Amino acid sequence: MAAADSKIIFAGPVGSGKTSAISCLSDIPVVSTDVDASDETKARKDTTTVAMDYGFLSLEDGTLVHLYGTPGQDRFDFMWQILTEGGLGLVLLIDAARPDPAADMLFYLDAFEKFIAETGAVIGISRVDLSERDIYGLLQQSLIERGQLLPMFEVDARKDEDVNLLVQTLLAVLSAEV
Amino acid sequence: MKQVARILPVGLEQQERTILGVVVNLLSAFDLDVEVVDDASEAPHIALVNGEASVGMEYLHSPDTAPVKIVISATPLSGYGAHSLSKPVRVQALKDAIFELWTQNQESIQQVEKNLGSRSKAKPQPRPAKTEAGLRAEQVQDLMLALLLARSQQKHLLFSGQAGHGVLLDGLHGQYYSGLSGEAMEAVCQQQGQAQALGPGPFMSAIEGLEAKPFNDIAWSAARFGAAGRLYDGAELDHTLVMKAFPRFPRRHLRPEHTRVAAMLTKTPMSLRELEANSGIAMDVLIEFYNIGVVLDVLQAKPTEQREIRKLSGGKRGGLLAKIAKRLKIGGNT
Ligand SMILES: Nc1nc2c(ncn2[C@@H]2O[C@H](COP(=O)(O)OP(=O)(O)OP(=O)(O)O)[C@@H](O)[C@H]2O)c(=O)[nH]1
Ligand SMILES: [Mg+2]
Repeated sequence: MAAADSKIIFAGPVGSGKTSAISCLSDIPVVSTDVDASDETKARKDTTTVAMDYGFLSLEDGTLVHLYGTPGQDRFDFMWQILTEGGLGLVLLIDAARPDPAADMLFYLDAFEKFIAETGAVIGISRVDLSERDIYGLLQQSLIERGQLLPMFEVDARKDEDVNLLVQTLLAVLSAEV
Repeated sequence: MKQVARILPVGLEQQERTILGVVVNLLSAFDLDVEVVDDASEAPHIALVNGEASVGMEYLHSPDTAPVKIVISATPLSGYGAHSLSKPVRVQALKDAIFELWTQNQESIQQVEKNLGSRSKAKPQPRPAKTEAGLRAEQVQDLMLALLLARSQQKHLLFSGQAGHGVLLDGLHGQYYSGLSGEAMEAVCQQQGQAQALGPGPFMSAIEGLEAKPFNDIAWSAARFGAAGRLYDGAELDHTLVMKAFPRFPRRHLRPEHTRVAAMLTKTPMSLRELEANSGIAMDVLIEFYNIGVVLDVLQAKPTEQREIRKLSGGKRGGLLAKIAKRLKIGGNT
C-alpha cells in the first residue's frame, strides 16, 4: 500500500452483502484474495493467510482507496484487528433476514469498538426485502440502549446508489472530526 | 447585532398575512428582525402592498410612503418605485425580496431613522427573537408547521387539506392517523390546508378505527413544502444541536444534504451556524433538517456559552475525504 493510499473496511455476518457492496464500488472485479498478515503489520510476524474480498477505487490523482471485506466467519476475527490498522472507517452490513440481527450488530460493534471510536462507522441493513420484521426499529432501539450514535440506513447491498450513500455518509462522519 | 425592519402590510389577504408571518420568523434566522406595524405613522421601512386592493392603490398614490415598497399582484405591476411580486406570493420569494431590498436600500432606510430621530419619537424596541409559544393552530396552513406545532406543544390537531382530506396529529406520541391512500396523503403533505386544535375527547373519537403511523412517514415530504425555513422550538442559530438518535431516512424524499448533516452531528454536536460554515449547505436546508429532527424527536437545540464558530479539521485526512466524495459523486461503475 503506497503512503497516500487508504482503505475502507466492510464487515458483517456471512451473507450480509459485503462482496456485493464492494463490487458496487470497485474499479476491478472483486477478488477473493489471500491476505498475508505480515503485509499488514510488522508486529505480527506469523504469516497467516486468510481469504477476504478485495477491490479498489482509484482517485483522480492516482491514489487508491482499498476496499476490504472481512471474512464472515468469527474464527477469523483476529484478522480484523490487523486489517483495520490505518483504515479510514468501517461499513457494517447487517443482514435483516438472519435470526437475530441485533445480536449480530452488537457482536461487530464490540469486535470493532476501538476502530470505530478512533475513526467512524456506518451501518447498512441489507436484505430488508427478505424480512417481515421492522429490523431498523429493532437495531435503533438496541443502539439507543447501548448509548451509541451511528448513521444507519436500510440498503440493498447490490445497488450502487445505496452503497454510495453508505460510503458518502461515512465520509461525512469522518469530516466532522473537530 | 440584529437589525429591526419595520414592515407595513397594506390591504393584504389573510393568506398573504400568514405568509408574511412565516417570513418574519425566517428572517430572524438571517439576523434581520422584522416588526410588523399597523399604521403608516409608525415610520415603516418597507410597505408590503396588495396591488389588487383599493387601499393598496390608495397607499401607492399617497405622498408619504415607505422608502421600499413591495407590491403583490396577479400581473406584474410596474411604476410607483415598487418591487413587484406575483400572486400567489411564495414564502421564498417574499423572504428573498425583503432581504435584498433591505440590504440594497440602506441609505433611504437610514434616512427614515434620521427623520424619526428629529421627530424625537421613541425608537421601537428590538423585539426578542420569535418563539413559537404564541403560534395558534388557526394560523397554521401547512402540514409541516402543523407537525411542529403538535410536537412542540404536545397537542392534538386536525389538519384539513384540500378536498376535505383530514389528518389527525398526536404530538405527544409523534403519530398521525388518516384513512388516506399514499398518494392522497402525499398531496396533503404538499398543499396548503388548515389546522385546528382538538381536545382529547373529540380526538379519541375521530381516530376510532384508524391506524396509527409514525410522523416519520410524512415529515420528510411535508418539510419540502411547509414551514419554509422557520426555525422552530425557540432555537437559535448558535444553539448546539444534540442528536438523540439517527433519524430514520425514508427511501423517497432522501436529500443528500440531510444525510450529510445528520452524519456530521453523530460525530460532533454543532450549531446551525457551524454546520453552515463547515458544510457549505444553505441555511434554509439546514433549518429544514432541524425542523424534521424536532418533529421526529431526534434533535434537541441547547443554548451554549461557546459562540465562536469552530472550523472542523476533518481529521488529518480532510483532503482525501473530499477526493473520495468527489469520486463517488461522479458515480463509478455502472
Ligand atoms: N434480496 C436481497 N439480496 C441481497 C441483498 N444484498 C445482497 N443480497 C444477496 O445476498 C447474497 C449474499 O451477498 P454477498 O455479497 O455474497 O454477502 P457476503 O457478506 O459477501 O457473504 P460472505 O462472503 O459469505 O460472508 C448474494 O446472493 C447477494 O446477491 C439485498 O438487499 N436483498
Ligand atoms: Mg463475500
